[in-house]
Amino acid sequence: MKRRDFLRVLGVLSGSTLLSACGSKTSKTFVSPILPPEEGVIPGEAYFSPSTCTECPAGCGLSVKRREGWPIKLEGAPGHPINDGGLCIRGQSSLTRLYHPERVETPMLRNDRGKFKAVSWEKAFSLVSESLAGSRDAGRKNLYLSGRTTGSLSRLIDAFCSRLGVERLPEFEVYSHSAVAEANGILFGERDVPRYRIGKADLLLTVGADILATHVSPVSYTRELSRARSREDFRWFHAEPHLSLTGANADRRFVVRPGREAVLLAYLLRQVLDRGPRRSGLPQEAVDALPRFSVGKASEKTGVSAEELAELADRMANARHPLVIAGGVSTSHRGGLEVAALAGMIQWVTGEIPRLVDFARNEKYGGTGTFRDMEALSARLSRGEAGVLFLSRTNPVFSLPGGFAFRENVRNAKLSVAFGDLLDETMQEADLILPLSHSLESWGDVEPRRGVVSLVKPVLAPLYGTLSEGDILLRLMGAVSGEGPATGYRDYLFAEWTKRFGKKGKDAFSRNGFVVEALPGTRVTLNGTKAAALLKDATAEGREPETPVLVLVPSLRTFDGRSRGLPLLSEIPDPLTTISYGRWLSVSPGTAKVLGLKDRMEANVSSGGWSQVFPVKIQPGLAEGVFVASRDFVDSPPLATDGRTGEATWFLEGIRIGKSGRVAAIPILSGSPSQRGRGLIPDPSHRDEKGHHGKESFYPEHEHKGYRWAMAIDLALCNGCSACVAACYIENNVPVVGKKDHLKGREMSWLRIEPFYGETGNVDFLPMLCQQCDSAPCETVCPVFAAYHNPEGLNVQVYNRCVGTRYCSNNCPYKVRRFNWFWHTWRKPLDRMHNPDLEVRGAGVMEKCTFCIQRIRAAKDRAKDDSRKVRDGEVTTACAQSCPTGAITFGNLLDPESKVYRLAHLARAYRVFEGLGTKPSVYYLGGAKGGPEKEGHG
Amino acid sequence: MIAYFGVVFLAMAGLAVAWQQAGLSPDQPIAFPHTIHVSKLSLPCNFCHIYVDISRHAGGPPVEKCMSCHKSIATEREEIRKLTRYYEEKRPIEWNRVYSLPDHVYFSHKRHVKAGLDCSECHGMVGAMKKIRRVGSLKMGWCVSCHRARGAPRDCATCHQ
Amino acid sequence: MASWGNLQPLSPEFYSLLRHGLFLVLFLHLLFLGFLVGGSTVSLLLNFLGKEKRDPSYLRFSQELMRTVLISKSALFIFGLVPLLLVWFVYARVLFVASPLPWQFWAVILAVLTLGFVLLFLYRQARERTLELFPMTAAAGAAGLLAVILAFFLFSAGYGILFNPAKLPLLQKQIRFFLSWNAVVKFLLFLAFFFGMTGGLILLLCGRSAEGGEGMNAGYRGLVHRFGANLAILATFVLPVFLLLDLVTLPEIALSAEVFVFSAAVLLLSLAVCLTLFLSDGKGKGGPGGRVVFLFVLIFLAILLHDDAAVGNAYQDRIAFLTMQKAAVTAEAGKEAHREESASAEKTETDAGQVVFEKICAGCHRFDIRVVGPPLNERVPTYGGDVEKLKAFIRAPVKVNPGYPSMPKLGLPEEEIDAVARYLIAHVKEETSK
Repeated sequence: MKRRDFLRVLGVLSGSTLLSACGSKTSKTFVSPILPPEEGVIPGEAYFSPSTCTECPAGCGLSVKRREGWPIKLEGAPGHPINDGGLCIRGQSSLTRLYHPERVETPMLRNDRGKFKAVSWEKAFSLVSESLAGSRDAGRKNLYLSGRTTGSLSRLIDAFCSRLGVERLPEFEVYSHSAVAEANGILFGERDVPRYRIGKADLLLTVGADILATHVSPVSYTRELSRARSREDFRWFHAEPHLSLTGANADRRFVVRPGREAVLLAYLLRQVLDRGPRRSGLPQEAVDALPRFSVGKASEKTGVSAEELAELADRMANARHPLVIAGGVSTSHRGGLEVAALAGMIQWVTGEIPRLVDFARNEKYGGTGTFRDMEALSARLSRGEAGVLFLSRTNPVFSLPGGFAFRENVRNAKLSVAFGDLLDETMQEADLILPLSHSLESWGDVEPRRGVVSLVKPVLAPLYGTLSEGDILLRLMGAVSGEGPATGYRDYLFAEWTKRFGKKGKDAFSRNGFVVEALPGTRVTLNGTKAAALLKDATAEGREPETPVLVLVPSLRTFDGRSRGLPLLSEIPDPLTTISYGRWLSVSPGTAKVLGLKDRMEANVSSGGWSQVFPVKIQPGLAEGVFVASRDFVDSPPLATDGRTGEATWFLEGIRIGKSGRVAAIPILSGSPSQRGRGLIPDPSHRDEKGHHGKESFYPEHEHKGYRWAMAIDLALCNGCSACVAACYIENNVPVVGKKDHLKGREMSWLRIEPFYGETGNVDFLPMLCQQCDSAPCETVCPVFAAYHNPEGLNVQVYNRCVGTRYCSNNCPYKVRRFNWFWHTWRKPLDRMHNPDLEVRGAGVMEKCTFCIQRIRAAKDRAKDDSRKVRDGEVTTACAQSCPTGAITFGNLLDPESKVYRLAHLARAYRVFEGLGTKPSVYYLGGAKGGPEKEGHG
Repeated sequence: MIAYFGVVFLAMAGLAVAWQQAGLSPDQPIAFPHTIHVSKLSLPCNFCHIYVDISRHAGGPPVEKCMSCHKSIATEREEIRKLTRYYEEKRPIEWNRVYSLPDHVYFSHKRHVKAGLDCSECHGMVGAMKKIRRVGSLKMGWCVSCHRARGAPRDCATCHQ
Repeated sequence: MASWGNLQPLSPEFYSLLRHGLFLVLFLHLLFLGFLVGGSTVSLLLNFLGKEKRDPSYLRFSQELMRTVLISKSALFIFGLVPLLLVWFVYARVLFVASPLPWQFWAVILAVLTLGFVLLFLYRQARERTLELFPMTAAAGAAGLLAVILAFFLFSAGYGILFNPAKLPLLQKQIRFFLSWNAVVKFLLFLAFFFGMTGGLILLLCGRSAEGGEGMNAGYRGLVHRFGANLAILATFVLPVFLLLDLVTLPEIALSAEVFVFSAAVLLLSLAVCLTLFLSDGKGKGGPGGRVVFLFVLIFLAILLHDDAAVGNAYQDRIAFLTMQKAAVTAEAGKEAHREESASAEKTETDAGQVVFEKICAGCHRFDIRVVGPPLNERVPTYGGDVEKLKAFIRAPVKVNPGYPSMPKLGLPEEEIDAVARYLIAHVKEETSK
């Protein structure tokens, strides 16, 4: 063929292939329902139903937003006794657990070759009932181990165990607060964690307890703290050996030597006894046994300066309602029992039991087992005593110290049956896995505090062939008895509730989602003898952990590691370090200098026989000789157990650190931990630098008709918990981009928490989002007019108009614009979580916060139906709605009655980078935490 | 010259194919005639499309509503027998959408109906269509020209979600 | 009762008459106008070229052309203006709207066109008198031509709205809705056709007149032939492009398989013209003019049929609706006649109810027998003449007898419920009393 002919044919062929591109577009279909929806249900409208979050034991109430029967967003239930409308980062992310692509869908049985194969429920039940019978014959014990369980399920487990002759083991929680419970049991005869009424205190001293992030009921405490902080006279001091999120936010933070909290508290107790406030006395034997310290001695022993100690004592003396909460790291060493006891005694002496320290409405940790119990269990397993071992919602293989050899011993059980939803280390070791339905797919109830019953109500039918634990137990009982299940779990629950609340009460419970029961108060008295016995050696030397120590702390993002499987929680960075993916070791700046360590360099940490390599992150504010890592960064850590409380210590002592020589790739998302004098959060020196450069803009002023949306963020309240970030991700279909992109700095979150460490050791958290600038630098440079200013003051991004020039992001001084570098895939069924009010952006499109314009649109639509304007408080953004502290306020700046108007006109309101002339619509309320008159951090 | 006309002819064929694929009047699983129901029986539009003034979506009737008359009316027709089979087997009827907007568009039927628009202004003479066909291009210009003429909001954020 | 926006409903026969009348009118008018525009353009061009080249044959050609094109004032009037008056009438009848905009639009077209014709006629007359023209006269001719072209552009805009009935309600608000890309493309398409046909007509009519013997030499004929052939070929090359653009810019509802078939026909015919001209080049005898003109007329027919099919598609639902309405009205009239035989003054109120009954209820109910629902002679008396109770049931029917299917909620307006309830009670009383 001649060349020209060849080219000609080629041309025609390639031309005609273009025609084939005119294929049919994927045409959408409309599916008619067979039956009409229930009365009052309209497609396209969102409906809310109550439930309870089960991501951690706190049991916050939820308001689940459903569209067309699918839950797409979780919000805190307003008025709920635990969280009153707030929801933390883990709670928001727990929706991704429901839609997790790797949920276990069917029962799985391990076959002879050791692989899991799917089996039917009938087969699973028959296998279990045979094994139950078989172990009785073989003289083995059948055992039931679960995580902390409250409410009707706990009672059903009891019934199950007694009916089938199964021994119910003490519940296992990594954080069982057994030192505190034990101390309270010894002193007051109430072995439990009491309810702390922070909101009513005027002086709060937290010793080690990370109340904002992980301690017992963080959202509840955060809410109460915000309330307390609104009062002028409230002060909050925090003492800890390391740096936690709670410590970063307290009014004053004292760095105590590890294990020396007892000295601090003993000194304080003596001061309280001498100077007050004193409403009860200590028995003389206890007073005599109390060690005496001068302020200098106390200072030397604890490492806290004498001035600080004196000031603390003064504050205490002047306080009317002081509250001391000890827990967490400070009660998780060999002297932890004494620390908890001392705190209890201070509470007793100041007379705040039961007003601020309420044992009647305790946190229900009294029945939770300890590590000692798990050690005993492991020994029993090794002796081959176990027949059928049920492991429900607990991960001891991961959490127990390697020394317990639980992983090996669990294999000795004749049949280990694990209940769970995502495969974890324990489920991997089990013989039979029974998949649990998510709490959004099941009925149930939870009693997170005594006197509070919270409803778990299903929003949709189980996605897979899973069952709730209650149904599993009832069916098992039915399989064993051969009669089939007596009832379904739902009917069982309804009967229970009707018995407990009455018919009307049950209906109210089902509607409201919670019941607060009336309880008689509890009077406690201090056991002086036991107190004296504890005080005798309270501050004895030799018990504290030997520095250098590695503190293994619970993580804000994964709690005890149970939320590791949710990718959103790895995508959102840790607020103190801004590291998202990966494990790291926090090192103090002094130590880093000595060892020659820089961020991302790897360090080899070893203690005894254990060693692990970590990338390093320099953590300002951390004391010398103290290293911090998250508990879930270490698999089976070699932690010791305290013989008296059974609590595991959080410290690895006498560690050795050396450079490994390598540099790890971990994404540290913040540019710098310091403001570098840019006045993002004004300290007094920067406050005078207001006002801009005086040049006027040559663009005409915007006219705002009807609404001008603005936001006020109170930095004195924001504690960096990142709940807002998680809420924003889920509300706005923001994709999770993964580690590779984070390493390139391509984070996707529309809202980020920037931590800034000041020279005085204070930490400030700045939530940075699109400022909706009135004079936006991004709007003027878009070549296709995809970014424009709408008449309501928003900077709107029209996604399908954007061509991906990225000039807008280039021009943005706040760097809040996010570019979709790829087509992000949402593995099924995560695409069910999409908010249908907002498009999912494709590759090449710039996106950013627009003050949840879809919510504004919906509110205006509702208002227009009633021919009125949107009222203040009727519409709020996802971030503001979820914030447990209430730091974010959203509203219409044109309405002089609105909350945001009032806040924006406060003296301490300022805007970031005001000098650039961007005229942002986000007003930050500066000043030290807790108010303008409160002093800066020590 | 032949080549030139050949290319133009191919282009025309391409346009014809594109028109064919545009799905102006797709075949439906059941040949539902709006002519009989709207014109002959004078059923108002919102007899079946009940959500049109209370929701974003107009919605379609549940199969139960169809059966409420067709349990006994016209049961000898093949299409009605098809309908009955769907109902009895509880199988969903997958209608091919004629008016389908992309995901990035927020369109609220409620707002347009409450503004006083008649259904035929956008959907044409549905009562005359034995088989529904799309009468508007559904392109942005089509929407904006009407908004412009009637003084409805032209802010981008009104429709781009 | 859906209407055409604010338009007065017509009957399907009247619409058919309008459509075919429009077709005929356009056929005559546009053929004439085409030759006029094409010929005047070429004439002016020849005038200009003639002056440049100082070649009198150009000028003579120009003169001959104008003579051929503008036959007489009466021709101008009959074929130029009268058809547009007819079209104006069509628009007035179809677009009976509150706004005067459409009327004004067409008035402007007619005025400009008249002006253009006048100027062109003056130019022709001047052209007839001398070979050498004053620049002013040529300018006047050019102005006249531009006026005609402008009028034709506006005409295309008006023509264009026929294909997009959705625009009809918007026309009342702003004049800008007359313009569209389709209008521009149609304008260009027809212009291309005009020039092509002019080329053919030049080949056919010019360069062979018996009078004017001097100068009628081979050179002159060759010039004429060249001009005509080149113009025709150029047009046939340009025509398909605009045809494609027309298919692209037509609104989707106007398209159908027929439209594409006619477009293909235009393409093939254009190819035929091209081939005719190429193959007959240089033969010289007889000339291809007749064939070319014939083919161009066929092309024009195909274009008009293409447009007609498009209009038909665009209006098919509305016409179907009118047809159904008409059928309903005739049926009503029949029933009306039947009813009037037994009319009484009191029955006027129940008549409205009877209308509702026959339209809505009769599908499932009769008075004496069971159809779908129970016989009304049994059911209605149970209400004991209580109109409100019966109305409540009709408003929100509940299952009374499990032996019958559920009565659907009909969503009738209050007046209709009231009317039909009264009718039923009155009618049943009558039936039972008979």
